[in-house]
Amino acid sequence: MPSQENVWLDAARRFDQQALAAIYDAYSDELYRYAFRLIGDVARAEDLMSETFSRLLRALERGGGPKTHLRAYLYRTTHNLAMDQLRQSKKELIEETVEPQVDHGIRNPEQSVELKFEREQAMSMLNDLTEEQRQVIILKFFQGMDNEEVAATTEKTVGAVKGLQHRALNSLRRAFEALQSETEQAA
Amino acid sequence: MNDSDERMNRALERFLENGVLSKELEGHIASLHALKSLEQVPDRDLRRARRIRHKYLAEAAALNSAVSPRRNSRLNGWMSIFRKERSFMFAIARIITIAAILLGGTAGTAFAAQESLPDQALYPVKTLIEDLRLELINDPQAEFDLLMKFLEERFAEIQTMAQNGDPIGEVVQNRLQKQLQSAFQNAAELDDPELLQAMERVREQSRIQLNILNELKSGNGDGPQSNLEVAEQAVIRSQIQAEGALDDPTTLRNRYGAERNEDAPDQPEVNPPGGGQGGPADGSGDGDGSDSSGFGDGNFGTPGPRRNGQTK
Repeated sequence: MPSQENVWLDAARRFDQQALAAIYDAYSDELYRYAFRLIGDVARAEDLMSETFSRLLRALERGGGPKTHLRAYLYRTTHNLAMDQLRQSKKELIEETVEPQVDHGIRNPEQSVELKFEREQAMSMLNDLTEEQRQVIILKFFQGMDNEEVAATTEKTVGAVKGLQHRALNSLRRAFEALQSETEQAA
Repeated sequence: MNDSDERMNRALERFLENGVLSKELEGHIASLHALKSLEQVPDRDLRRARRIRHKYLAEAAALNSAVSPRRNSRLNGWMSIFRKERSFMFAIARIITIAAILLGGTAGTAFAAQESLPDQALYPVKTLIEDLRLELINDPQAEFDLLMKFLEERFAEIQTMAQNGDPIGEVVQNRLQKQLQSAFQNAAELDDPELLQAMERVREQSRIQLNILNELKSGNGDGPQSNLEVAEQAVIRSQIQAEGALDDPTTLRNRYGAERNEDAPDQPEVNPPGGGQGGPADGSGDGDGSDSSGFGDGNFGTPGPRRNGQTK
């Protein structure tokens, strides 16, 4: 029995508006969140998400686009667009963290400052990872993907994903310890 | 992959799914918790989210119409006439007959005029027929659609004349500008979804036309480039207007003084520059797919099922 994704894809190739709307509704929010985690800016995250869907349409128009694994394809497109943008702006990753526009559960300025500090620290740790390690960590920890989905998105084997994940955890620990050490010295 | 990768993976799966801490993760817990702050992602602005969704669907509609069969050559113009929608055929035949009678010619003359160029004697018949067809329509969407076809025709004329090395006269340029403006006026009367779709179509058509113009200019040598510049400016202006309207349809309505429908949602009282972050004016959030469920797509480090119910 074909998956829902494949049913959507078949209809999307005929530019069926309902199928295209269903695809957008299913994935736009999570792609926005993924883009924000990669790029750290609300407006740019929206733009990246929007461009991802635009690329999908243009690929379908040319008779291309994904044959299967639509979700993985969309994530990959968002990731590539984000990396292009980051490279263009000559940033390794986010150097300045944009303060969230809506702070869930944040009731006072101290909490907000603390959250900002924690975000900066977390982004700094992610910056110490390779691009592939960072991608695996974000997809698995924050976007809720399992190893198979991460493998489809990154176009790697599940074994390679596990290896990247292991090395990423070790790098994160080293980065965290370095940050702790810096903080202690500053104090 | 080696055994330690596999052991670490199993430990991580248990941690992510059930919050169980295995000995493999000892030494990693502090760093994993330090990432937790990245769970939080700011909510999407619902108005902006809705606008992006409209743009996407409008782009889909535009691309869908763009891949439909198009006229490739002026030589098969007669065939294209007979391929037009059957529902229009009777009306067109009547218009042509009336135009022919008014001009003292025959229906055959009027049909022949359909293929005429601005520097040819039958061109006024062609433009009269276009005007009559527009006069018979009382629906902004249908009028917009017809104007877009006529604009394609203007471009085909310009293309043919440029390829023939003929100067692009004022007649065709003025008509191009007038019909572009008329298309925008009609679009301004449409509801938001249709307006956005119309603007996406204008933008896409402008993009194609600019490519054609660039090709013509590059192959033109010392030809009538200044004439093409005029057409180019008109197309660039329409592209800019369409993009402005895609960002905010009210700009087009304000420009063309179109009234909003009575049942249209209320406009915000104040529109600060660079604003629009204050949530939807109607507060409805009607199925734009942006439920802003907040943070933690992956339930990172939280006991319980990891997946958030998204389609796999």
